[in-house]
This record gives sequence, structure tokens and C-alpha cells, in this order.
Amino acid sequence: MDIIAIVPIKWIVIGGQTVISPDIDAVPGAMEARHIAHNETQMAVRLTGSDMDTSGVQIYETSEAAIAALQ
Amino acid sequence: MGTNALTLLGCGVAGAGEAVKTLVWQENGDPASGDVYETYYGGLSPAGGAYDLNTLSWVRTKTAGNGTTDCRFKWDDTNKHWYVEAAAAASYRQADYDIALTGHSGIEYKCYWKYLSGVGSGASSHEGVRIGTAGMANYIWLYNHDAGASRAFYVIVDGVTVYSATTLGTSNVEWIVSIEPDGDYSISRGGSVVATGNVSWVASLALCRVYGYTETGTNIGFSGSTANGWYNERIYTWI
Repeated sequence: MDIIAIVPIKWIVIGGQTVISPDIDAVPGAMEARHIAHNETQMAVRLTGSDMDTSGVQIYETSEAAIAALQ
Repeated sequence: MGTNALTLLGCGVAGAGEAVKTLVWQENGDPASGDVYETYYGGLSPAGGAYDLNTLSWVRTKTAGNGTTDCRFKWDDTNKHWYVEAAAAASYRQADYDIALTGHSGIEYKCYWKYLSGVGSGASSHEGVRIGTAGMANYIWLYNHDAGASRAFYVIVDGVTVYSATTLGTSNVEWIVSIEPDGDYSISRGGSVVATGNVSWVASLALCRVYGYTETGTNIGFSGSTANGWYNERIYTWI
């Protein structure tokens, strides 16, 4: 089941260059995250996984609502 | 590979201040089926040996930190496509491929990325391919980060991760990037689209850089080695 959530951004270094990535470790059980939108510190994502523990993040019903919450 | 496709196969030496030195492309191409095709190349001399239909040349790749190595495109008659093969299973860190896109109307760009079972146990192994021009704002990356149990795969566009997976699975997974001339791109994994979007810089791609990178580990890269479970292959098709 997909869940739309806002998760923290983490910075990862790849090839000596830094990019931003969703910190899906913030949602135990989440296996994949697809970017919807982001601001400087948070990213709205569509999460996929099983038995996700979403107690630590904000959940939204639509992408639009999640985007609005970022602004 | 369609019989009317014009397929650009390569590439050249990509270093600071260096221009494309070699271009190889093939027209109407399935040499195994006897299609009529032509091969064009120029600039850089092949590493040696005669060309043949199933091993299209050639080329030298710049590998920072490890000198240079030779690679060549080979025809996979089983799967009917071209792939990049290193001439030697050397450990090298990175290689750039510059590909000229000028002179083509319509572009369909595909990048194949396969993950095979048996990922190595390197403490921190990275491997990826990126497609773009220059700077973090002009790249699409497909990237693996293998750090023991915390393996992850990223799709990064213009410096932002648009897809990440914390598990890579244990079977072959084929990733494809398709970029249209208007910049619309689609990234799929195993036949399912995982990310779509638009990158404006594709329209100005006079030169497309495909950049393969391995940070640590041995025999990862373009050789097709399964020592660490990774295998890359790419096809660039202009229709």
C-alpha cells in the first residue's frame, strides 16, 4: 500500500557530489520512496512497504495536500 | 533494435578540455540478422585489431586514478542489443562517455541497468551512471550504494532523489531511462515506471555525457563482471 508522507531530507554524497534524498529510515518498514516535492528540510514522498511504522511522520491523503503542507 | 533505427554506439575520451574524439554509430542494425548497416567512426584510432560485426570497435575511456582502459561495444545476440564491455577486467573508478546528439531529429534514449544476484560485501561500494551535460543541475543519475546490509538504489534528477529503494532484491532488475526531445523522461524498473518528469536541458544536449562511476570494489563497472553482482549495459537509440 502506498502512503503519502512528509519525511526529513538527508544529504548523501555520491561520486563526490552531494544530493538530497528522502530519509525513509524515518519510517521503519518503508522500502521505497518516490519524490513528490520538497523544501529545504523536508520531502513529500509516496512510500511503499509493508508494516510501515508511520507514527513519526505526517501522513496525507493526496499529493496536493502534502505539497501544500511543505509550503 | 528496430531495423530503421539509427543507433549511436559511442563515445570518446572525455577529459578536461577534450572534445569528443570518437563517434561510432550504426544504422539499420542487427548485424546478427544480416541487416545492412553502416558504421561511422572518426578521430581516435581503435585500440587495435580488426573490426568485426559483433565487436564494434574500439574506444578508450578515461579512468581517473587508474589510467586508461579500453572498452568496446559488443553485440549480445541472445538479447539482441549492444552493450559495453571493457577489454580488461581491471578495477577502475570511473569512466566518462561523451556522445554527440547533434544531427538527429527525435531522440529516444535508453539506459539499461541490471542488477544481478550476489552483491558483494564491500564496506562501501558505489556504482552509477548519469546522463546529462554539466553540473548537478543537469544530470539524471541511476545510482547504487552498497554498504553491507544498507544497500540502496537511487534515481536522482538534477540533484534531487526522485526515487530511492532500500532493498535491491536478488534477481535481475532492468532500469530504463527514456528521454524525449522535449525533455520528458521516464524511468522504469522491471517494466514499471518509478519516476517521470521533465528536464529542460535535454533540448540543448549538443553533447550528452554518460558517466559511469564506481567508488570502491573490484571488477565492478563496464566489464560485466559479476564479482560484485553488478552489470551495466546501455543502448542509445535515436529514431
